[in-house]
Amino acid sequence: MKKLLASLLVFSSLTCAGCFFQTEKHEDTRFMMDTIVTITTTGDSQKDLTDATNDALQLFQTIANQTDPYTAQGPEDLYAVNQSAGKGPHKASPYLMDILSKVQPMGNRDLDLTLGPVIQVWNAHKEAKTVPSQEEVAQALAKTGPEKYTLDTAANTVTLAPGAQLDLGAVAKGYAVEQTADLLSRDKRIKTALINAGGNIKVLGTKDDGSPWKIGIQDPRNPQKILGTLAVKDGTAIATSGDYQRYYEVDGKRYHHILDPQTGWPAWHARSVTVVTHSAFWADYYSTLLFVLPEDKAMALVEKDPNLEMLYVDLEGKTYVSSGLKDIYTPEK
Amino acid sequence: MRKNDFWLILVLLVLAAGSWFLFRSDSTARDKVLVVRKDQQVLQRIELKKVTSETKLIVPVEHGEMVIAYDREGGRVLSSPCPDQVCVHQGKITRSGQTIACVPEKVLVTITTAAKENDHDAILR
Repeated sequence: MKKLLASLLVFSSLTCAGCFFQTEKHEDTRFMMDTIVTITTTGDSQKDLTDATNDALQLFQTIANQTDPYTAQGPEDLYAVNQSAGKGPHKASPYLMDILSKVQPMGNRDLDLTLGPVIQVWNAHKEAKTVPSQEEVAQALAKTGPEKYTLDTAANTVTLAPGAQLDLGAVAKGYAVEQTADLLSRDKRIKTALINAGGNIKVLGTKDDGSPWKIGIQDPRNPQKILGTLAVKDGTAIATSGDYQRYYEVDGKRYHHILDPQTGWPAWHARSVTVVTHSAFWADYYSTLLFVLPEDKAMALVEKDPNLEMLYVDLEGKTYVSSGLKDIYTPEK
Repeated sequence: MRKNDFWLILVLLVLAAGSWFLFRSDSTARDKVLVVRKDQQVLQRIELKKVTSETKLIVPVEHGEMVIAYDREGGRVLSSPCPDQVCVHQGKITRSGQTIACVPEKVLVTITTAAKENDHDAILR
């Protein structure tokens, strides 16, 4: 009888351990930054996961406000900074300042945060379903260029040239994902987290079964299909820029939202570019930048940098994969 | 085999059978559910296997009305007052994990199953 009781005790303690230490999963989806933001977390308690996710989403919203070019937010946020163009230095909010001071030293003319005036032209034509004239685009383009803004990092001010307008659409989502990931990675309540914000993903932690995170990449011409799957590990960031996310068509030609800063017109080299690296901010930055380049130039740039990997789908639908992705990317059959 | 061993085995068998039934009843969890959310609120959860013919759901949104149609296989956005019509162009979703998002109207249409049978942790769109 003793044996039986002992066995039952062992059995019940084992099964109960399974109940108590079962990993909880939590998912929250919100509309922010003109896109869908989903944070999926795992940990020991639903309450902890809910609280941690709320903290993370609150941070995301703060960054969204500070980088919103369309709606007035705080006096130091992007909308207010843009209103100050031509009026001397204007104090900028911390996240806004941080983004600008990360991008400016890169000095790359293929990614320009001053495209605001050109974007305004395209937005107006998108609503009217018309195409702007060459002259209209050229006039707006004359107001752009990295030299149109200067930063004073000691005083936290931005000075915009007359007519200049900043638009951080190329990097803001990635930046918010990275900041959110940073917050969650320091949060002891979280075992794993996946942050997904409109084409920007970062994964944190290792799944219970030890398997890699599987991230599907959408076929740029068929939203119901997957082009292939990336198997990635803790700390990986992935971003996709595509001509299928925001566009309109006039006479069968696709006018999408990713503009070539050199011409002010949509870049017509790729259907989509996916970048894999460690930071969601740089993944967003490079996916936008590489999208405006032809495949050979984009691939040459990627292969020079050991921290950067890329999947490039050209306008004919041909897929190019950088050397570091060959082992972790599986095309869909 | 002693008498106690017999009882132990019997108890274990009963427990195993019990848990098998418990998890078996979960098999209905594989049935697809169409979830319609507006902003953060779940407006409708529709068990697709119970749908007999294509049905329309009208969702009041900021700029008017969005019409969602669903049948046993899945759902699609028939019309939406949003400017870009991305949600309408996306067509029909039929598999678990697929989503139609209308960002301007803050509507999310998703197919889920309680037992998530997705191959992917996330899809980059």
